[in-house]
Amino acid sequence: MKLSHRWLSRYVPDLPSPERVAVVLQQLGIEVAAMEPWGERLRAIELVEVVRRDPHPRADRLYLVSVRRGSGEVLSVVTGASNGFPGDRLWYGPAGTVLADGHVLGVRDFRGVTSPGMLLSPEEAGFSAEPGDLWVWRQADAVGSTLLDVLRGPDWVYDLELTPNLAIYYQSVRNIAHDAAAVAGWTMNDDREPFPFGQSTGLLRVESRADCPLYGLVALDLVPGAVTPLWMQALLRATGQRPIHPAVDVTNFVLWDCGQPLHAFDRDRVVLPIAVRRALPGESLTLLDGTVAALTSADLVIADGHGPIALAGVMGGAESAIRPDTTRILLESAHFSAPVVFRTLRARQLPTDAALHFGKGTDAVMAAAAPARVLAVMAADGLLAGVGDSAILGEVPRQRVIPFEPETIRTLLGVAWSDERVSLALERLGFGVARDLVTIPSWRHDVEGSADLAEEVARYYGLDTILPRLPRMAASPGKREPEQEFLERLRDLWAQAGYWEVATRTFSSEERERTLNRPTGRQPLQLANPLRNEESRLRTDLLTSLLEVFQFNRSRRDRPIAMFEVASVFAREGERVVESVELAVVESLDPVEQFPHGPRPSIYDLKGALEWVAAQLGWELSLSVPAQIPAFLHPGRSLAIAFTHDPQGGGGWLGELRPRTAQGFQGRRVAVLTMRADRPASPRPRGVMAHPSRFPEIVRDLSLVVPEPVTFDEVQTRIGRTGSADLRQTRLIDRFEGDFGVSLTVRLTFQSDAETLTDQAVEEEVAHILSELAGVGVVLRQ
Amino acid sequence: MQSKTSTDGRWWDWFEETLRTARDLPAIQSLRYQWLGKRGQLTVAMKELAQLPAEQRRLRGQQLNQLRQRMVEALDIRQREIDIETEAALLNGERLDMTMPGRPPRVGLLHPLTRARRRIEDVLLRMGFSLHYGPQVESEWYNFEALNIPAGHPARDMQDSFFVDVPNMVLRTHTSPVQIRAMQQHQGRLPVKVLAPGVVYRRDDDATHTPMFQQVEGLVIDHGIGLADLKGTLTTMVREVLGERVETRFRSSYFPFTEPSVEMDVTCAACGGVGCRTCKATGWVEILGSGMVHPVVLANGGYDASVVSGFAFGLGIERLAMRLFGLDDLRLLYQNDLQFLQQFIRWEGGRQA
Repeated sequence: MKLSHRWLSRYVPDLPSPERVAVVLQQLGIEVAAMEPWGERLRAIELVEVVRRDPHPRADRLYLVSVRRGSGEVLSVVTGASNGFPGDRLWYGPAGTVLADGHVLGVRDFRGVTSPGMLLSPEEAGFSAEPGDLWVWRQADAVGSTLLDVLRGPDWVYDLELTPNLAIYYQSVRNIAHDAAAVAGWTMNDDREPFPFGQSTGLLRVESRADCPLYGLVALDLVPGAVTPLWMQALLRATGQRPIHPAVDVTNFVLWDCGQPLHAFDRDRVVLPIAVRRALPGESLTLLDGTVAALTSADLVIADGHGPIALAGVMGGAESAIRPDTTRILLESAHFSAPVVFRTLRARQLPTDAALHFGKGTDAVMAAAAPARVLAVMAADGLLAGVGDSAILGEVPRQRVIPFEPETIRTLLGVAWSDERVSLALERLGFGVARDLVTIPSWRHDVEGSADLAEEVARYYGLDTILPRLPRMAASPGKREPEQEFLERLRDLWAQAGYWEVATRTFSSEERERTLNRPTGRQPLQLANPLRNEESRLRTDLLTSLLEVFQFNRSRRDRPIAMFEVASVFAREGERVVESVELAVVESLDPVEQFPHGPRPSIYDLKGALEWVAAQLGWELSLSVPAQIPAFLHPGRSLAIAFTHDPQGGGGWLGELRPRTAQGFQGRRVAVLTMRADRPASPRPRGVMAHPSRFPEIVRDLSLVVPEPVTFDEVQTRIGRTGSADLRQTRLIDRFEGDFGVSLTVRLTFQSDAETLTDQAVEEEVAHILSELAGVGVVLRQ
Repeated sequence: MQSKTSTDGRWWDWFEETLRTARDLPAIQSLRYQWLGKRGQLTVAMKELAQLPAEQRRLRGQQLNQLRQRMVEALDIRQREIDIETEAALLNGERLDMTMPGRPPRVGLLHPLTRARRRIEDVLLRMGFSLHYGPQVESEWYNFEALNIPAGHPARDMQDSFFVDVPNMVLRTHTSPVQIRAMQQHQGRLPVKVLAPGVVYRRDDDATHTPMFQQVEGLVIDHGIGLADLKGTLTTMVREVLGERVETRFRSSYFPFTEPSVEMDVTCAACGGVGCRTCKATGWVEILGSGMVHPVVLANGGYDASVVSGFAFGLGIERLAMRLFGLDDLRLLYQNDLQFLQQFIRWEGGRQA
């Protein structure tokens, strides 16, 4: 909402500077998003008097008009206007003047005659006035005055951002002035006297009192040719509105002035009586904006003898609208039910100024008072020719009353203020406080209980007067849930292992997830109102999100990538939404061209990282090579991951992407890991740290010929099966292929806690191990 | 006598000359052997002492011992010299261009959003808040009704919320539903002091809004909690997170689930409070929304507003991260350009290391 400083000063005659007013608005909770001067453009436009008017020597339709400026200088300006004769006073824009449409005047040559600037029409200056090409000024202002002088200097306009609660009552200059004056201690002019409606029967009937508790009509006549007063045009312009017609302009002015929407019908185009009722099936209405609304019984309408003429509280009909020559007016001032108007506003997407007021709830007292304001303004500026019949149906609803609980208010604010101090704030803001009851002002539909009153008291005294303190309560340390503690540790470990955490969005689409084509077995959760097609569902798969990040980075530069994320994936199971947390890791395996050379990237890096992370977490995983590898993975370089506590649960996958799949993400060799991020069933192993053994280690390297299809895992299992207590470590230290097939060199480390092992003892253990290995055809390489 | 010492002089001259021309360890060894070995010239001479008369034997013995001593020292010195020369020659062959780049260790890093979230969590954990969580796909009751946002409220418009193909479910538009869930879990126990971080969704996408973002919600309920407690707690928290020198101010605001509602501003980081484009010349930027928990919300969580009161607050992690790390574009955080993320290695918990 735009608020004019000058408009506000109509209520507060001694209004302080615009800056000071902004501070007070802020205290009321109104955010001042911007504050700008208005009208500076008009400083250049000067009142001049015509001294001569001559035809242009070389153009039939142009004239040379000599004008006298305030300085006494006489200059000649070319015009094509049909008016502007000696003795007339006109508005002159010298070169450099900015017109209402943004055009900047210069010095022009009209067929050999130089013309500095222009004599202006009202539209060029930005206003409407009596008909005529040039704007002839009939007021007593002296030649040399500027248009800005006539308007009493520049105005300041605030751009206010009203929160929904404030918008209920602050879309009204009067209400802002009321509270600002209360808070700042200013004196305010306020007049809320009801208009003395007549008893004209036959003028109207209200069929639905619940929808429309109060409905008034006043017939009035405008002086023919009347023009909206300049001060009002300036206020409307400053607040972003366009003057149209005196009747419309005055209703718009009163709407923003006191928050009461009014409607002006062309009295000659309605057939009395007026009815306020719900629309009947099959009725329709051509609205002011030209659209045809098919009405339903949800719509409250204003109807005349022929049918609906307005959508109540939202928009008038085209047929009964004010036309340029309309002088006979039927003025509506009503109090409509907010939910009824809001429903129509929402259903028909018609956020008109009237609907945005009525829809939030208006002040019923103002519905009865507003016509008086209209007539007062019109009369003061000579627009009003006469007032005819009037009538009002309904009553101003009684003001609501709630309990006065100063102790609750003090608690909510955390202050020790007296009852008197609390009630003073409320009274200044328009509340009535009598013993243990508070009467709520008719414009405050937002207030329901003590919490609302506490806010009023805080606004009145300012939040700064409430001194900060720390809550006094039983102290206990804050805790993270074990599940979350686990996820944080999981993130820490992957970062420690050298992987970069990324943060992706959970949106995806069928097409995006098809690129990887990973079977998750999840039924996707679709968005009912996605912003775009590629974000039409919540992801069922985290790995796709990471591969998209991979692709994004690859499209920018060819650098090694190692990244992970721990985040949610979603599925629907019937009418149930299942959210589960997954871990995904992506790592490029392309050789890194650098000197000094580093280790060659391998899928074993990612496997090693997983093994290390699992060991830190106490994750008991079983990694196996299953018969069936999903299509997105390399069939010879992949593992299935299962949690030992839930072997059938489908833990996840580790492997290289199938190169064809990798290409879809601009990758060549890409290692991936995707798995559930379950917290281990049992917590991390705890215990006493063992002392290191005092006795020497004995190391034996065995170069073993391992026939197909025996895997290292089987070799290790066989070695472990011997149950040697002194075998401390089995480490693979080399692999090569020769005529004999594949050879693995395994380093066995033996050590005892009790004695120095003899060579003979170790040889016996080795022999035992070799005999176990022989069972699968593994023998020592000769 | 005379003849003997002159013999020694010749021996020494000859020994010294040979030693001087010895270029390597074998030459030294051979010289040592030649003079001092079992059959070395000096060893033999010392063995022959026994044949001399006792008086001469003592004197001659002293002379030979001196000579032997000199030879041993000279050999040792020369051997050390050759050791050094040999090593120098060897190392010279192992020379590397030490101006070449080092091989960097492989490191990873948490995402700045995780770091910003943890920073605020850690501060509030120390202040006694416990972490609570709720689902990202939430029922409309928890997301709206329970929070005093009845049907028909503008916040429930289609343009603000994402709905899913499961009836009555919505992508939560704030972490505030966790307020209700946490209250229900507390089952009326006091005090309630919880913190709820999480992903939330709004149907907005432009330079300053992203359809998915992260929030942290805080909730305190006990007897006699007031706006003064809210101000004290949030000021303490913000100074812990952003530094002691940060100034704060509170402004009235509006949220359906709090009454009174306030917003908290902090000194603009871009200009330090003197006013600039970032803060629209006010010197302040908004950091969080908060307020006293609305009686309806307390009731929906199972608490009686006539007996207890509480405050709640919510702040955006992205905005905090932007402040902590000096970012000017929200969208970069979700782009995951690794080159962009790698810059954050220089920052330790929001402060440049």
